[in-house]
Amino acid sequence: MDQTQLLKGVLELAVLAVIARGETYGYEILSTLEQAGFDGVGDASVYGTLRRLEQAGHLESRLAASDSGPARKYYAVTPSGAEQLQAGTDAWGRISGALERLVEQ
Amino acid sequence: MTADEYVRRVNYWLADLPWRTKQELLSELRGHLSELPEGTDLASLGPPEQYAVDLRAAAGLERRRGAIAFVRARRPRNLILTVVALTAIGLAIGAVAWIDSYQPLATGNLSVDPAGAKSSPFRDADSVVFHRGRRFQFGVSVLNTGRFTVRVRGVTLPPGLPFSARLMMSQPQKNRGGISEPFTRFHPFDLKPGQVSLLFFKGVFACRAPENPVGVLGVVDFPVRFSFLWRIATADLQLPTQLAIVFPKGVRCP
Repeated sequence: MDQTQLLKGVLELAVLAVIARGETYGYEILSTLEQAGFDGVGDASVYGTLRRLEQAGHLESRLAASDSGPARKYYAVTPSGAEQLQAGTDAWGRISGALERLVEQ
Repeated sequence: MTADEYVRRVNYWLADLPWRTKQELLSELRGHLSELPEGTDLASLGPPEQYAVDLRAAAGLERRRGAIAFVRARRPRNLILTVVALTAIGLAIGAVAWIDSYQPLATGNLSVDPAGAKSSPFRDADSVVFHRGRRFQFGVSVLNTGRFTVRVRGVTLPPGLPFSARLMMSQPQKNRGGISEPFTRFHPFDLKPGQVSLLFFKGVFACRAPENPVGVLGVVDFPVRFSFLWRIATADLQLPTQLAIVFPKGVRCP
């Protein structure tokens, strides 16, 4: 199966997880995801996900001046985003646990 | 491809989105592109169209169609300017159409008939017998019933009427039912709202037509030339009673 399809399914959780570590901005989120192994996900998908999460109230953002180029948009997780991350991680745990048990049998 | 060009092409594929949403997305893309390490090949981001498709898919932004989407995709400032311009054009067209149809002149309640005119068997007409060289006068008072001043420029009766006369006028005055003298030779003048002026021809019966007139010649209306702003027009004022000039048998003209 194409790994990219699997990654996209959990992208929302991954993005929330990265931001939950501390306030950060788009390019840094991309780099962190890439280092963590999410290298098949396009930049556009990450930015799109950021927008959707912000619109849903799971993220909040502020603009801050950057040393290079235009102002950076910094994201932080809101309480509802933290709940979403917790619920998502729990669900993911159950699914991956179930899948592992299924494969071991 | 430069970063600006990449942004421009993505912009093209997002053209249907509401203006503010699109600006936010493009501003983020600009920020992102500026963060890329020096010398990064933009081809690694994929083609701009694919970038736009992925962005839409992840952000849940569907393609929008229809008139409302078209309007919302415009820059608000441009929308306002367009509405203002269209309104101004509409008002200008309306104003021109109104000016072109403005005709405030009406017949007042005074008229001047030739001496010896009588009520005739013709309906609503006074008749007078043509008599070469006899004194002739004929006219009506003209009232401005509108809200704006117009300039009265003259009276253009059809050619060939059987009299030789010059146009006379009274000074424009408030319409109180009467006209006060003196009467002077006509010259173009401003007739203010509510003012009235008596316009009449004064002279003698004369042969003017190339052919010998026969029977009865009727004058139905009184065509007053006037101007308002840039427009010159003729108001065909209805006479309170028409004038019928009767040619007796045996009149030789010219």
